[in-house]
Amino acid sequence: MSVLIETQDLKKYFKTPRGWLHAVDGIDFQIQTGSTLGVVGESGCGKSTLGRAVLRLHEPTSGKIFYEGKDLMSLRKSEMRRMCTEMQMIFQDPYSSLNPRMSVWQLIAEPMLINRMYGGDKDALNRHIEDLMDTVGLAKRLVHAYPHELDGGRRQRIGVARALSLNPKFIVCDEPVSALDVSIQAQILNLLMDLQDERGLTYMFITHDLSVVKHISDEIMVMYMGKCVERAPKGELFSNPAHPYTRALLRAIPEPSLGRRGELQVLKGEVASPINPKPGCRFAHRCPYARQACAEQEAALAEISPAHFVACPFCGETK
Amino acid sequence: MAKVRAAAGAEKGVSQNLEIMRRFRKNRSAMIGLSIFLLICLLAVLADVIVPYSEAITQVKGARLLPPSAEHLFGTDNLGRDMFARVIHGARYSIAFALAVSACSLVISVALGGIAGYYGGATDNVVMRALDVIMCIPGDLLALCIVAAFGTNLGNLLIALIVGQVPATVRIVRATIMGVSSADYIEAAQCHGAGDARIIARYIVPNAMGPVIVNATVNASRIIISVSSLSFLGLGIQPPAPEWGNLLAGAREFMRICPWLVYFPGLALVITSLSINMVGDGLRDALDPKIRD
Repeated sequence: MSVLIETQDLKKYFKTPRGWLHAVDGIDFQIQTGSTLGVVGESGCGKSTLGRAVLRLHEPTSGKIFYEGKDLMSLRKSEMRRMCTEMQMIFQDPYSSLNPRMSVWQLIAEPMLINRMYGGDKDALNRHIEDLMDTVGLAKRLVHAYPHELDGGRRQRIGVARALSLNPKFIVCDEPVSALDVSIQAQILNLLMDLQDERGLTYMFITHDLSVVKHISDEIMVMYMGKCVERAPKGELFSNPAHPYTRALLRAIPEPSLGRRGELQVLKGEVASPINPKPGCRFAHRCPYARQACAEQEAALAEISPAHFVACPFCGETK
Repeated sequence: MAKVRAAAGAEKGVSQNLEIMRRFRKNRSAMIGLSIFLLICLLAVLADVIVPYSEAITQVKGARLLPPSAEHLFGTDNLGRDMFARVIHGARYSIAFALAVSACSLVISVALGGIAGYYGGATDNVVMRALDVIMCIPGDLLALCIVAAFGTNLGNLLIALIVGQVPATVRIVRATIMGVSSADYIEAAQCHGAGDARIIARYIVPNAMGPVIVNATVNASRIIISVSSLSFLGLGIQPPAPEWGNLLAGAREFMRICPWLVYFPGLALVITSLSINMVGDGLRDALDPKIRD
C-alpha cells in the first residue's frame, strides 16, 4: 500500500465583498492507492471546493498537493491539464454537467479526443467507447442519444464513463448520487465499487449522506466550516465517534425501529459565516460542551487512537 | 410515447443539425413565414425583371392617383408613378437594409458581448457601462440624431441603425454567454483537459447561439420598421428612390381619397416583418434541444 494522493495544509479562500470566505481552511489527508476517502459534512462546509481544489479546478490559495509524490502545485496550467489522464472527477448533477448539444458518443469521446488518445484511429476509439458503455451499463443503442432523452441514472453512467475514459487512477466523486433516487443510487454506488475492485481505482468520495459514505468508504473525513474535525477508518468512526460534531451527525441518522420513539437531539444554532471566521474552534458556538478555551484557541488534529484524528482537545472528557 | 419516439430517433443517429432542420420544417407557422419571406426576397431580387426601375420613377402626367387596375396593379401615386413598381423596388431597400444592419450589429455584438461575458470583471464593466450610455437614448431617436447631424445618406443611415441596435444585442449576447460559461459542463470540459479555444468553440458558442440568432431575426423585422420610420420622417431613403417608409410618407396627404397608396406599402411592411418574426419563433423552438416534436 502506498499513498496515491496527499494534501498538506490545503487552503482555498474566495474573495467576497465582505472579506475572505474560508471555504477550505488547511486540510491534510492521504489516500492509499485503491482505497476510498469519504468526505462528509453539511452543505456549504467546503467539501466540494476541497474536491475541486485537489484537481486544481479551483486554484488553491495555498498548501501542497502531492500525487504519487509529484508536487501538483508546482505544475504550470498546461502541465496540470495533462494530469487529467491521471485524475478525474464525477460531477454531482448529471443534468447540467453534460453538454446538451453532444450525443452520448460525443460526450464519451470528448475526453479522449481532447487528449488525442487514439490519434486518428477511429475504430480503436469506437471500440473503447463501446467497452466503456458496456462497463458502465449503458445499452449500445443509446450511443446516438442526447442527454435530455435519458434519465438521471443513465446520465450519471455517462458521467462515470467519461471519467473512466482516460484510464485515471484517482477519481473525485462529488456527490455523484445525491441527485438520483434511492434505487438508482445503489446501482451507481455498486458500479463505482465494482470498478474500484476491477481497476484498483482510488476515490475521494464527497457526500452529505452518511449511509452512502458508510457503504463505500475505507476512511472518513468529517468537515465543518472548511476544517477537518475528525478523520478515522470507517469502522472506528461509526463505532467510536469522538468529536461532538461527528456524534451529532451520527445521532441525526434516523433509526428505523418499531415502538421506540427516540428523541432526536438536534444541534442548536446555525453554521457561523465562513467569511472572516472568528478565531478558536469553529464549532464552539454550537457545541454543547464548549468552554472558555474553545473560543480562544484553535483545536489542532490530534491522534487519539491509531489512525483516528480528532480536532477537539476535550473529546476524552465529553464522551 | 414521446420518450419512445425520441429513443427511436436516437437510435437512427440523426445529427443535431438535421434534427434542428426537421423540427423547423415541422413547424407550420415558421414554414409559412419562411415561404413568405423568401417570396418577398425573390420579388426584391427579380424586381428589375418584373417591372423596370424606370417605371417606378417615371412621372406620367395623365395617370395621377389612378385606382388599382389591370394596367396599374396597385394604382398610381400623385405624380403618376406606378405603385406596384415602387412597392416591388422598395422591397430592395427595406430588405437589404434589414439584412445588412442585422448582420453587422450581430457581428459587433457577438464580439463585444462575448468579451464582456467570458472575461467578466473590469472588462465587462468597461464595455457595459459604455453601452449603457448609448442605451440611455432610445435606439430610433439616436438613429434620428445621427442621421440629422451627419447628413442623410445611405452610409450614415446604416451606421445610425447599427449604433441603435448594438447595445441591446450586446446585453443579450453577454447574458447568454455568462449563463453558459458558468454551466457545470464547462467545468467538466476543463476537468477533461480542454483549453479555452475548444471550450469556446465546442461548448459556449453552440449553446449560446440559439437565443442570439433568434434575437437577430426578430431585430431584422424591427429594423425594417426603423428604416421605414426614418424614411417616413424624411431622414432615411430619399425620394424619388422608393422605400416603403417614404411611400407611406408620400401617401399621407392623399390617404383619404386614394387609400390604396397606404394599403400596399403598409401591407408589404406588415407582411414582411410578420414573416420574419414567424421564422424567428420557429428557429427558437427548433434550436432548443429540450423541446421535442
